[in-house]
Amino acid sequence: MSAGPDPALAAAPPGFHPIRRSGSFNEVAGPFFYRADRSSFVTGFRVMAHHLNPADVMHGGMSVVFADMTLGLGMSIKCGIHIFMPTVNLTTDFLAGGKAGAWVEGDAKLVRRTRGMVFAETVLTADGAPFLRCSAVLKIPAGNAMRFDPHELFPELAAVGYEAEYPEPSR
Amino acid sequence: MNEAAPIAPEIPPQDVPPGFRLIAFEGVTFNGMIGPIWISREAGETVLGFRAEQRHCNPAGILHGGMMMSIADMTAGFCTAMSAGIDKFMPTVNMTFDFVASGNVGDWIEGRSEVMKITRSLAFATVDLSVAEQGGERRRLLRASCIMKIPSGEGFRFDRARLIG
Repeated sequence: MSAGPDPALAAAPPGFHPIRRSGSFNEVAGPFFYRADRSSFVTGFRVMAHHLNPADVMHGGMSVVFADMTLGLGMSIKCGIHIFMPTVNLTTDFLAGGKAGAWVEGDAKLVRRTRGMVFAETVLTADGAPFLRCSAVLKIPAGNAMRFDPHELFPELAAVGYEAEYPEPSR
Repeated sequence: MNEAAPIAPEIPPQDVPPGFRLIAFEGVTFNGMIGPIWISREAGETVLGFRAEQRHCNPAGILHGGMMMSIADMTAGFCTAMSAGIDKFMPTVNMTFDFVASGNVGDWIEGRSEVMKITRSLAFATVDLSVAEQGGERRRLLRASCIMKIPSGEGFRFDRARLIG
């Protein structure tokens, strides 16, 4: 399996760690990063040459790939749902064009969680300025077929004492 | 195929339906990295196609939604522009994706765009991605609704990709 470009070349800001998930399209599209502390989980990536379209701005497809990952993975971690949640709908508004070298960052917000679905939204930023507004509907699958261990994929979560921001409400 | 050698020497031979030609993107771009991506322009319809590979999948082993959205975005741009006779690159303004079914490794996936409306500055299109099934049926994977900006002035013209085959 050929991984994507060397994460070291992306020069992530201090505190960000590479997201490594082997055999995934995210490795082709990345490298992607995350930063966590006790109460926050943020994803990010550096816009590199292989993220651009022929007009030399960030490819729309690449923008939505990162939006999808920010909302899907963000909700998994923040809601403590450690299972792969398929995206049912993703809606994106392209507020600005991304330039090569920009640092893009996303912090997913929960809108509503039901037994079977999660509704999430965020505004991605590029070098701190609004870049892409997005919202997603995610399905919480029945069964445990696609469960993952967050501490294996994101070892820094335990190190910083991360606690899920939106834990399952008690019934 | 000799002229393909300097641009895409690493692209392995693929089982591609008749009528599709490889889009060769110059330089390092997202399109070139996720491809190979193919295009057919027969009977007045422009269709994008690609063969789903393992590297296009998510950790669950099914086609990654991001790959589908990337192809849908390209379909919205390319196929809409060609249908509407627009030879400028159109940046995406809004795109809404509905994931109706999952795709698998080996699927030949095609993207089509239906032009809803072209104004002076905007293009509205509906895109679908589907897989041909036995008996001529199509299994639909993704529906997308897209708004693109038609740049004023010259804009950026399609001159950095060419077709091979």
